[in-house]
Amino acid sequence: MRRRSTREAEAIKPFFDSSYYLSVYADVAAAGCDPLAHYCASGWREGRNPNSEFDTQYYLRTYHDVAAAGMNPLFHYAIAGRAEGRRVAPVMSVARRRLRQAWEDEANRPDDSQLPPRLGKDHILTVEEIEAALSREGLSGVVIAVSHDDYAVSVGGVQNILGDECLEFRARGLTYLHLCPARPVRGLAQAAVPGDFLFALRCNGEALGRADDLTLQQALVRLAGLGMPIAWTVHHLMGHAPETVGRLVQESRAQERLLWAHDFFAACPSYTLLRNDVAYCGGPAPDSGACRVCAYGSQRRAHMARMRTFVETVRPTLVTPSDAAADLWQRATGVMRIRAEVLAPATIVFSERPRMGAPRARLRVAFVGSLVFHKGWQTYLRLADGFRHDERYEFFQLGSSAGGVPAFVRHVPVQVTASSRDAMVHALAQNDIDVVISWSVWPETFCFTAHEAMASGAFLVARREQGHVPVAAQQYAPFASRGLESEEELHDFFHTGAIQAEVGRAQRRRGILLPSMGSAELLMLPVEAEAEAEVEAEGVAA
Amino acid sequence: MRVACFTSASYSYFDRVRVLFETVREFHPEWENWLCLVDEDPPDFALDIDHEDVDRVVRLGDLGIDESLAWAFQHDVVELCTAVKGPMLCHMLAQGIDKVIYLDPDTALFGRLEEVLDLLDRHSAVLTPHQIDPDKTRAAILDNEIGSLKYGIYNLGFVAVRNEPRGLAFAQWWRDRLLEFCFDDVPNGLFTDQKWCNHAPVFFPEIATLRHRGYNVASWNLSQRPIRIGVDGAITAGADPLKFFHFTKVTHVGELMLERYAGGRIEVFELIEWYKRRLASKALRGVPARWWHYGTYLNGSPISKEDRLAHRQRWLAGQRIGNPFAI
Repeated sequence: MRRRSTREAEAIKPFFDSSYYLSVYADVAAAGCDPLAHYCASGWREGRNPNSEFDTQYYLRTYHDVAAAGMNPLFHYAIAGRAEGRRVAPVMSVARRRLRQAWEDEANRPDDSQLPPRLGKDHILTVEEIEAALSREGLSGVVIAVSHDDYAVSVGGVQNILGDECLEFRARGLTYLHLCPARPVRGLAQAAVPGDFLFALRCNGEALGRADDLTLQQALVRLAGLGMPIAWTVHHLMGHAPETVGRLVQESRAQERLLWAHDFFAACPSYTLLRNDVAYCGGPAPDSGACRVCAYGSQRRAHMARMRTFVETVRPTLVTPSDAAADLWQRATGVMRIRAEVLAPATIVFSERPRMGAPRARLRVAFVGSLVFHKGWQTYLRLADGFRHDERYEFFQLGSSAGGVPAFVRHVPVQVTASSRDAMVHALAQNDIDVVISWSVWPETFCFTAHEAMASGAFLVARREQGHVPVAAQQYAPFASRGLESEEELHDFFHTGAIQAEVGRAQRRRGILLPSMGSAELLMLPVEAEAEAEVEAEGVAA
Repeated sequence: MRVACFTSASYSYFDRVRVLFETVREFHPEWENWLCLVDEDPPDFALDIDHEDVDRVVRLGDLGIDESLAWAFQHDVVELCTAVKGPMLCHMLAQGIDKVIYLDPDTALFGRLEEVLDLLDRHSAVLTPHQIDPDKTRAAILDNEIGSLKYGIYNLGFVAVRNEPRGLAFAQWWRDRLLEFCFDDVPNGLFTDQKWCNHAPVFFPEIATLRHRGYNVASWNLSQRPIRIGVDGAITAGADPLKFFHFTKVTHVGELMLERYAGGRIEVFELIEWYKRRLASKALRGVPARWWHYGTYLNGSPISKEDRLAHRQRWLAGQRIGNPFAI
């Protein structure tokens, strides 16, 4: 028995990915046992997978002879299945899993009013408490920002923008009140009876507590009555009831109202416009064939109607991070008559000096950021897998490893936080990354990782149909980037070695990523410019 | 002009019937939906068609088949559900329907079937072949073209007939053959109702072959008709708009066949997932799992294949048994 298990372990060893196994199965890692021994002893019987490609359950379900023999499926694959050309996973297994999950999630959407509050400080605020927090002496106005989660706790591009604009507004003597749903849900919250919607409040970066919409409304009405100028900047309405937010905006008598389009949530609950979470849909008409077969299709018409009513009620200025996003937002939502501004969340300032030194013999190729499908992780995995034994290339991934990085990709942990915003740019430069693959499957409105890659001086290989990324590449790195149409073209680019030649010729420069001031750029700068002009005019007159 | 669509099924396929008629109603609200229900109600259950997208239910006893129970006893569920299609077609034409469209219960519409209605203005009937374009790889030829040589050139998950003398002649011929020879007996040249129609365009030359690639799309022709969904939201098969998909075998095995011909495209799996979810939402409550009235004797014991064959021999020898289910 012992000899058999040793033989089994020896045979599967070349196919077993210990680091993948430990990163995906936290219980195995926590128990401190040998991952390979665990897979042999019980892992395969529990349906666990030994690497990112081999689907244990699929193999047993498809090959009845293996299941009937009660055999470790990876052992069978190693000694027989591989030579026989047996498949190790369903065709497009990751995409199909996502597809099933999209329908599952839609079928199991909870009744959001029944969920326990999860975000915000555990303290129920009174009208007076809110009023007191917002009307401290010397303040010249309140900016109310709305988004889907707590920007001070979650990490991401949108959260960074909120953090940045909070600082800018405070520096100008304004109070920055942030509202997110205390019960975060995917999609819009159900339309709430007044008094039922619970917000989590954060004021000038400090968690205040939770308040229902009527309490908040009373506080805002009082402040407006005292003549306090109130402006709104709505970054995201996920998890909100737009009717409730719309009512608060109106009741607060706000003069300035911004609606950000960080993604396409106004057009569909699938805010990346990925049909069934797997394929870019283009935001077609809600009665189209595409919406009919999409997990989000049945809600989309009502979702669009609620969002459209919000836009018509609030009449905001639309803020998009890029021109490409503005065009698509208007097409997909059908809201054409709206004032729109484009504001890039960050810009790159490059050094004048080109990056020195001959390129490496082995190109260092990287994927930047989280291992998520819509960011193109699966495409990158297929590339790295296809060329894993190719002496010309080395493959890296920088960011979080949650989800499991296989052994043929070297993982470099990097965390971009509000206090280390340039961590990724530095890590890319420090690891001497030559090439970054940017392959989002949705039309990015603004892609921070592509900007980080360019700022680090890496050569950017980007999918052409990717929203604003090709535009940004043309703007910042016209001689250090390459747009490609398809995954086949990407593989050819590596196979022929054309990439080595292009990287060798490229003019690569280091730079720094400068964040914008967010909504402050639109709400404050015009006012300040006007004030300056007045001062100058007075000076001239004097 | 009365146009009616019909399907034929036992209660175990009622979820499929509901999805089919739901889609028919959406794209052709002007059509009548007829169901040939090849089953009887289990105890404590009664079908309430007022709450279904069904206008008429026709049962075995309504089809004008002599000694219908003794006739039915020869067949298993697939054979019987296909054998009734000929009698049902004639029954509907006799009731004055001008254009009759048959669709298998495991199909669903994705668009209006205008091409069929147009063809029926000029032809007596319309059939859809399993394949329109030759396959290119050896594996696909084995699966698809040779599959059709075994099981029939036309897929009888669809047939449309016009109420005029030549259409009636075709319907009557098919009915007669199915009443006698609707068995799954491929070694002897039979495959239920389907293989008979290899003869149809020869015997009835005015029958049209519909060559639109959006009709009757399934694993057997997917290799030549990749499913795509454009950014305009349109679903296409090959270059044509998808009209109806045939969701044959929504199982692990069925999906393996789709995998083989999906061509690395996810869209066909999106259709399958959508269909599975529709089925789940349309499940029939109150009918026991695996219920089929004609699958057991009246005392509840199952009818074996041997019993059916023995009964058939007696039937062919001229022995008449009133109700073989009662034995």
